[in-house]
Amino acid sequence: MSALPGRNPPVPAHAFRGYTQDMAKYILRRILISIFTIFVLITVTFFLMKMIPDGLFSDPKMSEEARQRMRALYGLDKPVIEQYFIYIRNLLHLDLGDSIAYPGRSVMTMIYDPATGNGLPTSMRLGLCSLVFSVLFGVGMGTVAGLNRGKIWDKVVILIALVGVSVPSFLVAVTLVSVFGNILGWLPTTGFSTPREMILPTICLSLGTIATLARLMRTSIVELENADYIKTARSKGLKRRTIVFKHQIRNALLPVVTVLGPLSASLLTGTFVVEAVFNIKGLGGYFVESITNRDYGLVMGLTVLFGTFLVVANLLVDIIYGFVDPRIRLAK
Amino acid sequence: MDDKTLFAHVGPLDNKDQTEYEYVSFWKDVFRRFFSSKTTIVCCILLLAIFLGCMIIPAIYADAISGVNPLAINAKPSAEHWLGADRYGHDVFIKAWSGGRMSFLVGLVAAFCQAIIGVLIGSISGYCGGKVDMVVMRIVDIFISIPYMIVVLAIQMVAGRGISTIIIALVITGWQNTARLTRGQVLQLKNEDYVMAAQSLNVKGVTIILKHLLPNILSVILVSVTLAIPSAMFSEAFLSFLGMGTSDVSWGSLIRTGMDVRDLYPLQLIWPSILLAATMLCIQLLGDSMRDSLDPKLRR
Amino acid sequence: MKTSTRLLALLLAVVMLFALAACSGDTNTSSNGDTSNSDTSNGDTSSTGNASTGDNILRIGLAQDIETMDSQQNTAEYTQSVAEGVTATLLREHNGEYLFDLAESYDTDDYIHWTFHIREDAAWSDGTPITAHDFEYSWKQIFHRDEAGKVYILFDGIQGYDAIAEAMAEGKTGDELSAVIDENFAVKATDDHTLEVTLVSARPWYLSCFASPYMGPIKQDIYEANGSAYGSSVDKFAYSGPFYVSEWAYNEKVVLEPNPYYWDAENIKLDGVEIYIVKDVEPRVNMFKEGTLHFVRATSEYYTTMPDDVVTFEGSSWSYLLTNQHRVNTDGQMVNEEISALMANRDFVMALSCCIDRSVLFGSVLTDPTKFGTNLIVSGNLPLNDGLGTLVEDARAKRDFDNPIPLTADGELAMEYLQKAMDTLGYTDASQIPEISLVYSQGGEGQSICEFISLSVEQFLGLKITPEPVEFGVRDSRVISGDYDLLLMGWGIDGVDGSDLFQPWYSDLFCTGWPTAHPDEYATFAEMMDDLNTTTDFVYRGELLLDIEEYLVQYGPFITLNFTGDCGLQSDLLHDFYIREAGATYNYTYASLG
Repeated sequence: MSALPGRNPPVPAHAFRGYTQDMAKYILRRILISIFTIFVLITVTFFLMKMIPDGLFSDPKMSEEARQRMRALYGLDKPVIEQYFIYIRNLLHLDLGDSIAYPGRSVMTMIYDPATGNGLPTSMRLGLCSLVFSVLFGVGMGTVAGLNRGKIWDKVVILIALVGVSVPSFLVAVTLVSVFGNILGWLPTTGFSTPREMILPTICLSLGTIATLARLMRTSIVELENADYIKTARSKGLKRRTIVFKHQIRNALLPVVTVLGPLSASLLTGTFVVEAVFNIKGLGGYFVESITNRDYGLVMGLTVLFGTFLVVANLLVDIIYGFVDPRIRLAK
Repeated sequence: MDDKTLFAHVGPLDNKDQTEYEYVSFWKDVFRRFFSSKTTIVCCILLLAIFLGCMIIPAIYADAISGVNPLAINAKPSAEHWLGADRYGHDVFIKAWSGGRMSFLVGLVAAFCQAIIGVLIGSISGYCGGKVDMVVMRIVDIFISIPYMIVVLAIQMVAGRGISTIIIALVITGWQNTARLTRGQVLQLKNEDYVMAAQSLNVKGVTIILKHLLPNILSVILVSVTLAIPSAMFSEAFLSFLGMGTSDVSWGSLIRTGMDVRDLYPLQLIWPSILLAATMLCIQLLGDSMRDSLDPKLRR
Repeated sequence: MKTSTRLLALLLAVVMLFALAACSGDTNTSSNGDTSNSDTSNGDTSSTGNASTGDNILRIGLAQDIETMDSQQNTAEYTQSVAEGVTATLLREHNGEYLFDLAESYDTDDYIHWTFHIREDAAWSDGTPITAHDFEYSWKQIFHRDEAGKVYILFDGIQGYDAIAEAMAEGKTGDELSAVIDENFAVKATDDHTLEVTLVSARPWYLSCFASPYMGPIKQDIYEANGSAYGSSVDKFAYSGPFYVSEWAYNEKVVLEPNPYYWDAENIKLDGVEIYIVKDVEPRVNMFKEGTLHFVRATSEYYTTMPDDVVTFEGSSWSYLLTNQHRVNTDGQMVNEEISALMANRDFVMALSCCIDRSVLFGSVLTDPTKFGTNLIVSGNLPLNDGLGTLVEDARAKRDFDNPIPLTADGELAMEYLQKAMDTLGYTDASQIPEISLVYSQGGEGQSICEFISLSVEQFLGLKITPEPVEFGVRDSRVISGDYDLLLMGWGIDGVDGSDLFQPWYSDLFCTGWPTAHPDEYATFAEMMDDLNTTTDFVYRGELLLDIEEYLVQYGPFITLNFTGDCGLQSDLLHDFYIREAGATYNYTYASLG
């Protein structure tokens, strides 16, 4: 943040103080708001889930008493409000409760199983691999395309990007599995632990994101071609390389940063499909299963987790925004 | 008393010839630029063809996709069934067209409703600012954080499973983006001189939003609505893939069943996929092209 | 410039799409030719796999994680797949025969009073002996276990159950309930090696229950230390069966190793069993093709493409459409009277039934090995060691029952029935008949069956039946609350006896409203059932089973569809592996590889 000495006029100390104070205030406010959002999210989901009749204790073979006893076992016989407060209290102790479909298993161990490392870490790894992969490739491809507008590389990138946005990920997954796994036999089609196993799932999950990022980056680079400061830099006789790397790419990245929040969210939901097709032991399988099983504890736990993740991602983006664009921070 | 009587016109009487360019209205210009691209024209034609195909073909050959045709179950491609027949003996080629109806319905209705709700809430929030803005944006945050599968499930519980459930869920979980976009735009425009001028003349907020703000952000919204259509179609296919879709015939459900039999009867997967992907592609390209032609900076 | 680029991109994209399509087309065309390829690769892996045959470990793919190892909590198929291996019971079913397991013999004269003699060398996996008291404790404790709600009802054949159920309905728990159990429940360990059981009536087929894992013992000290978490992880369970679980990575795999203290350990040929949880069918089948897995369940499409690997097993589950004849809401008031009236009309139901071409549905649309028929009892439903099993078959051979339900669709007959129904109910035109909803649980083949029915009924009768997919659990909750017009239901038997299949109608478990809508018919049926439950003449009983079957086919509140068998893809290396008919669970105790 500090200005380089000698180049810019000295900035008075109080201006910095104001800046950091402003920034701290802004961040604090955003964090408080985020916490509130998560809280409301938990509440809304809780009551939403309570509206939905459970299907777990509906085995026709069970007697009515047995059903009552099982509901009591899971505390489902108490008034909804009481259940809610119990849930919130437990949540504060990081206790997400027990799964109903899998007796004796806590939701926490399902989200993260220390014995196997399954669950969240796996999903995170998949998500992160894809995020890194798509940022590298998306930004790289977008830049190449933008700088070589109209040339062959531009066309190739546009082509890939268009396929990426118009073919659903599960079709891509199925095609890749058939071609690289079954026909060519080059790559394994199940699991996500060895680097070789990681290739196909990462590509499947990233393709859509790469496409989005490449398109965004390309547009943004092209727009900057005509920006005044680029023109100025050019007229000053700066080397093209310097202009591209120091000015154009750095500034073109701004819109990319802003979409990273929602993008990580879409990667997260994307894992459902990819995890199913490649038999990866992440959270995706649990999520779909918990919903079809009406496994309250698990649905709640996962919603809280995903919701928190989204809120935090958005928070980070907002904070980055704040650094980048002071107007947002000051807007009341 | 009008101006003409007060002010005499000095200078040459007929100065029309001196304008360098012919005056072109904004929308006319947009229109011209929109259709100046060959890609756009191709896309338009293709999209129109697919759309009309979906509306007309199944209506003409309704017999080929109704009832059960035991003799044609999983038939191979032939003159009678170009792309073969499915497990009920329905013609694969024709059935995919009828599936498009549902997908278009989902895409168009969901995108439209999202846009209306989003614009309404976004512009009010942006215009009013302050506490209203704060509350609305928090609501938006919360809505964005609820996984939409839970919403789908909850609505299915109340309204049953069906295409309307998916549309409602998509609208509930999709309007936030438009709202954010609109709000951002309104925030930017709010401090423009003409809005301030209107405010100082005590024009009502509603009028300002409708007359001054919306027309200026219409182009951005139009693009976002266009791009919301394929994403709604995507979601429908995605839900079908996860087994949470409808039992109605749609591209999503056809692709889902096609997936199951892809080793045996690949055409049942490929044909609806091609239609879906081509539609997506066209709408996507049209959206891009629309954005370019609406961009005032590129105005020639 | 830009325009032409885009145009080119569009064209390229379209070409690429087609290329993609062609690729996957290639996948499929070549995957047929590829079978030879994958065979060679199969050969490759099995040569490496031979090494793994050397280690002699059976590998199975399951579509869902097991819920618990304790079968007293849950008799779901997945759960039982492990429970079978880790639980020893009095008897063990093997390929339709009952072998002695922890009991070395039993005495019974009348099939009511049974005395089991427990082996001297019966032991838990920690080496401590299993005694008759463990059985007594386990069978009595089940009524105290809140988490065992799904299972304790299966003990209803033992004398004293009714009194206990009544006490539980009164809300008795703890010591009060214990007193009732001790007083009434006819299970008694007279010494360490003798267990006496009294049933409510003569039930020779109860052998199959004595062989079910839920009747296995639980170990008191370990159960008391863990409560409802008993069976939820490796160290929270006492193993009595031929295997014990050495590793259970949730949602990933369960590893079973031979239990050295099992009395018959020397005859267990496998060196271990690994159960992998692979949810999606495609990776599951891929792992099978690679030779990683020896047995997986798949879908009709795979069974058609890989006919050489398919194995089938006798099934005992039945699928049918329930007709709700007296739909009531939660307050007991009748709703949807019009549709209820239609469903209660036998001619209308027959009209629907005649539209369904069962031979096409189960022969061409679905290609699983099913028996599409209208019988409710498959032959050999009583595979007893003493030859009682053929009674039903013998009785069936002697009679000539003209089943009114055609196996192939008969449009004219359907129209005739519909006309009759319309005359009775006062409709002048078929278009006046309201839309009828058909609930099914999604996943599996319910969708195909229901869409087929809907299409057929529209084709032949012009009536609208709307398929309504719901989740499995929701389907069940709609059954028990009677919230449906038509509903696709599957039902399997717990013990190996046809009467299990009639029980739901006797107690109106599915809330069809039959006893209310047609009290006379129901009374006739109930009378026959009472007779069936008390008779001690097994030849007469065989006849009676068939009588009831015929009666139900004609008057029951449902439309029969088919009997389903069970099948899967099985490696050539695997022998003596099969799926148990009752409970449809994997039985690998005496399986071998090679």
